[in-house]
Amino acid sequence: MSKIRPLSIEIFCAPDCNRCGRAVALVQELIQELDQEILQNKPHISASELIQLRKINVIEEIDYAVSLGVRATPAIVIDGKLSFTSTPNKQVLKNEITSYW
Amino acid sequence: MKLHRIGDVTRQLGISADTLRYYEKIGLIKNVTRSESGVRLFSEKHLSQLKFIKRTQRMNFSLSEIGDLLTMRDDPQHARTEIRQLTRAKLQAVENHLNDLHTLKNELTLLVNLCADSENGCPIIDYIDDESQQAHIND
Repeated sequence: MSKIRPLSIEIFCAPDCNRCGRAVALVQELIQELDQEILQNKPHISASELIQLRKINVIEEIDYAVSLGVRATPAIVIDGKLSFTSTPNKQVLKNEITSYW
Repeated sequence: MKLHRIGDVTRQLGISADTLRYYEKIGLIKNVTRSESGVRLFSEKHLSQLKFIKRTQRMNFSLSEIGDLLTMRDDPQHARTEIRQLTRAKLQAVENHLNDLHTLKNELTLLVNLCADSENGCPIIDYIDDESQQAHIND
């Protein structure tokens, strides 16, 4: 984590999609964990403030979803780049997020 | 050289006999020979041209434009400047259309996947129904 900078995470979800809820919960859980880790080294920085998490209803923003390459839900877009088209495991997701720092 | 009667062409390409006769009349298809009994005989080259006409019509090109493109197709090296320009413009139109189709394909893929994923029916159809009901309420 050399340069911690603001990061946007967008999770594309569909109505009635159980896996989408799990993906959102996973990202929220990870943000809390990252909060703790960052706080230990840089007490003035909070991951939950740095990470802008947005849950998007894919049907309401379908043009945006298609432009990013979303073909199924859940889809996780980090910093404008489609990173996962299913729910990754927590460590893989953590590695991906911290690779931006 | 294999020659095809008008009925064979109609069956093969799904173009009506009247349309084939019209294409010949306006000069879109040239040099259609006749049998001794006066039956039209279409060559393999004609079939290729007719397939090209069908493709270009799907792109909504006019018959006049298609005629010019057939001239280019027949002898690209000696085509007039205007026909070259038209061909370039049509190439761009095809590329734009392909981009649109690509986007549409991706959008439909997403919709199909969303419907397949859902345990409780298709959320897309539910959403569209809700929207149209809402629109009626607002009317």
